Amino acid sequence: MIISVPEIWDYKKYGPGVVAAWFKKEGSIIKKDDLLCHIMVVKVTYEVRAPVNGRVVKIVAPKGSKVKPGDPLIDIEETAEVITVIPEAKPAEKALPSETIIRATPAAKRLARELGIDLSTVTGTGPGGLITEEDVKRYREAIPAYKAKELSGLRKIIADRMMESMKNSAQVTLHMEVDVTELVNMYEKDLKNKDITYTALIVKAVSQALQEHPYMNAHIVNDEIRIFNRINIGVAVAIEQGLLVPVIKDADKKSLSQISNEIKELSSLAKKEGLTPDQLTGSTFTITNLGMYGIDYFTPIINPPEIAILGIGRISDKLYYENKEIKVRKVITLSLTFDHRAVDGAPAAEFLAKIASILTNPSQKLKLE
Amino acid sequence: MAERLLPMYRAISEAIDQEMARDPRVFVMGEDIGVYGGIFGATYGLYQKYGPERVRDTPISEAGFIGAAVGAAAVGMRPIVELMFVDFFGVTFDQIFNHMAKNHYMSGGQVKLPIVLMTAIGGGYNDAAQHSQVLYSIFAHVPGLKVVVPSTSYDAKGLMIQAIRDDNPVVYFFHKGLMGLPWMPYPETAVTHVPEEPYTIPFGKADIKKEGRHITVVAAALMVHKALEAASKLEKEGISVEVIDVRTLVPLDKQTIIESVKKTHRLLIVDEDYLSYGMTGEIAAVVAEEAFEYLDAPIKRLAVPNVPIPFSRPLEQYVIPSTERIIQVIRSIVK
Amino acid sequence: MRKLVELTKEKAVNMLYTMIKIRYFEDTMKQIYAEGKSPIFNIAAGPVPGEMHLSAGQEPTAVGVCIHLRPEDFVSATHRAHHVAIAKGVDLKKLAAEIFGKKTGLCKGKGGHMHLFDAKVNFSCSGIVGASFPQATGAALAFKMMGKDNVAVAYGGDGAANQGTFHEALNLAALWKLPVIFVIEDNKWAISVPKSSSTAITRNSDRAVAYGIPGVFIPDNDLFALYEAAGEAIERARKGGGPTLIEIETYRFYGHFEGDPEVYRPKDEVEKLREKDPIKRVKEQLIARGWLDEQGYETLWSKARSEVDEAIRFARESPYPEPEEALEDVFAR
Repeated sequence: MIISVPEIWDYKKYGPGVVAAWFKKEGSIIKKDDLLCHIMVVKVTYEVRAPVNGRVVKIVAPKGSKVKPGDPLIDIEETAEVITVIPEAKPAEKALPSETIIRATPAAKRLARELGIDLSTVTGTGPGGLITEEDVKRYREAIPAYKAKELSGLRKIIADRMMESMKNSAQVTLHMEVDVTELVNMYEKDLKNKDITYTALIVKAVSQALQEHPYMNAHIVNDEIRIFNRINIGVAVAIEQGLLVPVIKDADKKSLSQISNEIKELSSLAKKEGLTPDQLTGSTFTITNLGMYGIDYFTPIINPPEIAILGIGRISDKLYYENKEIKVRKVITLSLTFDHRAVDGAPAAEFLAKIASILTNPSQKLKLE
Repeated sequence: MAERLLPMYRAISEAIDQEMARDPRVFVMGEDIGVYGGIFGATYGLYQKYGPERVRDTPISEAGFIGAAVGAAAVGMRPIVELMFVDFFGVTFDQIFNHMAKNHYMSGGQVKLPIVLMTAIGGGYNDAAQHSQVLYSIFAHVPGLKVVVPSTSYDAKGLMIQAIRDDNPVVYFFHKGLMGLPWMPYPETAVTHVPEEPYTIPFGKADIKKEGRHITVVAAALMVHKALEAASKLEKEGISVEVIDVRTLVPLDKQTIIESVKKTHRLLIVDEDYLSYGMTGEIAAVVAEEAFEYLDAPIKRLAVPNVPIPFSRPLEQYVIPSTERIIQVIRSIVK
Repeated sequence: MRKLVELTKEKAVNMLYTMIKIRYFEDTMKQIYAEGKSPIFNIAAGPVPGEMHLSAGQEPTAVGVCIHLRPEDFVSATHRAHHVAIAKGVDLKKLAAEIFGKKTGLCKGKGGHMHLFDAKVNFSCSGIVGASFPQATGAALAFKMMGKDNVAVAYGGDGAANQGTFHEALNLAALWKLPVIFVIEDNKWAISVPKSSSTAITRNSDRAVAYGIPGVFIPDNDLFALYEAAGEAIERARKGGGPTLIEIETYRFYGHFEGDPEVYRPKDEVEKLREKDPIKRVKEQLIARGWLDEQGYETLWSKARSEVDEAIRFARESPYPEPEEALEDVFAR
């Protein structure tokens, strides 16, 4: 019987998925609920499990195939009960405390030691399987120089999107050092205790600035600039496998604490691979923060089809001289990459300056609610 | 300069002649070394040149005249004494190993014994069990004797002059089948260019007679030539053999042998002496001790098996290592 | 016509003194050897371990010959060689130290009691029976070849005269007319075997005929007879007259080796021998000639004692060699 791709995602909204990995081969015996394969949709991985017992006859959609719900996936020959092919392993006889003697010539042992090769992995061609120096040399030649890892799954998606972004746009980055002494004070004294993060503060500031510079809240698709009504801020989250960008919808309408909580929740979900496609789509502007890694500033790549992205560096101390005194203030560098097809330097700079002014004077300008 | 090819017996007698001319304390004694020139030619021409005082035929009294060499050396002479066949050492060995070898040590260094005891070794011409032995390992085993074994005329002269000039007892073994005598077959490779002027070859310096990459073969005397023959045949099969001629068993040039094994990782020792408790075992042990990590195959030894040398030709040829046998053993190690 | 060998008072007293010195040295050695080896005899224990062969009683055989020798004359002796060494003029302190195995010994402790070498007086000895004969013959050959008038002397026992080397050496010496004197000390016993059970003939001196050389027999441990025979033989050799074989009948007071229970000897033999003590006899002869008096005799003894005691003290106080020295001196540089 043919098993098809189940209706596990909104194809109209999110598009086709990719068969990311197969866990059975042709001929495998399967039990009901065995994991058959992974399908990736917009960086979200879905599991497909066996509905019946049986044996795999043919894999119809091999790894890498683009599929939509209803497409044939795998052909299974159904069986009534599970056929046990592998007999129950006999309890192993108590093994003697093994001193596995590896039979190798002294020269082979010396060479292996020098090259850091484990002799138990080398095949010996000498008398009685004795490992000779030649065997060690041959083994060394056969060791591949690199470990190959296929570009697949989330990595492939990120790779494709980054390439797409760089190939099809004209990106320019503006850097600006912003005085955040007041902001830091606010954070230390008050916001920290309320669990408000710097990222949340910046999301808020950016969404305010976008209200006043709506031309920055846009997508460019083919030859069309689409300026959006809603302000949905994507916040880049690093996970083990790569980068996910969950979206804070209507950030301008949410309070600082709401935004902060949402960021926290979405980050946690991202790390558990529990985000839905809905949570991963719909951003109009993206923020990416590398300040916690000590990065001063950088040139972020735009998240297509958006027209801009804001990179955040670290907060550092800066000395300045005023009235014959040396003083310290806190600064942060903001890096705004914009698509020059859609917007020019001056307006982009104005937008950035607006964000800067909000962050410099948060007591006055930052809307906390 | 034209090549001056000399057979080994002429190289040896020339060495003795030049030293006798240079140093009046040098004299020769032994059986038939006078008028006859030595039955293997080692004292060729000396009697005619130096007369019966300095080139003395002795009665058949090895213990007597070899012991006399010890006494003569103790008071300042530099005797060269010939033991006709090494096989005869039994009748005189006390004077050799208990006195010649030890008096210097036992006297705390007071007494020097600058003696050369030269003797004929080797078989292959059907002289049977009591006249074909090599036995240098017995002399090498006793501390206090230097043991010299040349394989070519060039080496023979240099080593003999060195032996005569050495203030210690040196036992000098010449192989009958290398002497180049008209009545005993010898390999051509034994006859080499010999410079006319006196020269020395230091003891404790082995000679790499042929360089190679795949296996080290250590040998002495006639076996050097058989190893070279084997090596040249194996070259065609792509097996590159390094042949080392030890030249002196005491002192032994361990360095050269070990460096070679570090290069080739395989060792075969070929000896015309008996297999057990001899030169092959000594060199194998030294290499196992000092170059163990470089061995890619077990060390192999090829020598006369532990049987007296038989008379009949097929029997004798079977026990003395042959070129063909050397080739077989090398192949088995390298493949 | 045979020339008489002259004996002067000086030489005679000298010889007696040497005999006394030897006797006192040997008697002292006997006691020292016993140190540390009781209650049960352990050959490896004490300040002087190993074997010990003492020559008390055989003094004349050494003194009677060596009095005629120059320092450069070569002497090769046996395992029982203290008397010959002392008579040849070996340094007494270094001799004692060598027997004790000390670093200051003749051979730096490497030879010991049976392998004493003193190159200054060309003295050597060996533990191998009969080894002395060929080596002395060789030294004599060397002297002849070098045109010197030095002689070589080989000592051997009644047992050694049956060894092959004895016969080979005599033949060679006779054949080449070498200046070597072969001295056979017949003390009647080769360890436990009496001469009558080992030798086909009664007198080894008779064997000289077989080699065509003069053979002399000295009976009854007679110092002066040996003195005369040795003097004549040495003179002859120096003049190129060839070798001589001298056999002297002598006796050892002690066992073959110290610790020897001497089961082979009749109990009263040693007592009888003591009555014929050569020192006593020589003393009597010197007194009879008027060359010595009792006081002089005592002086000789006290002088000998102090010389020997000093040598022993030197030996005891000297250090042992460093263990690593064992590896040196195998070869000359």
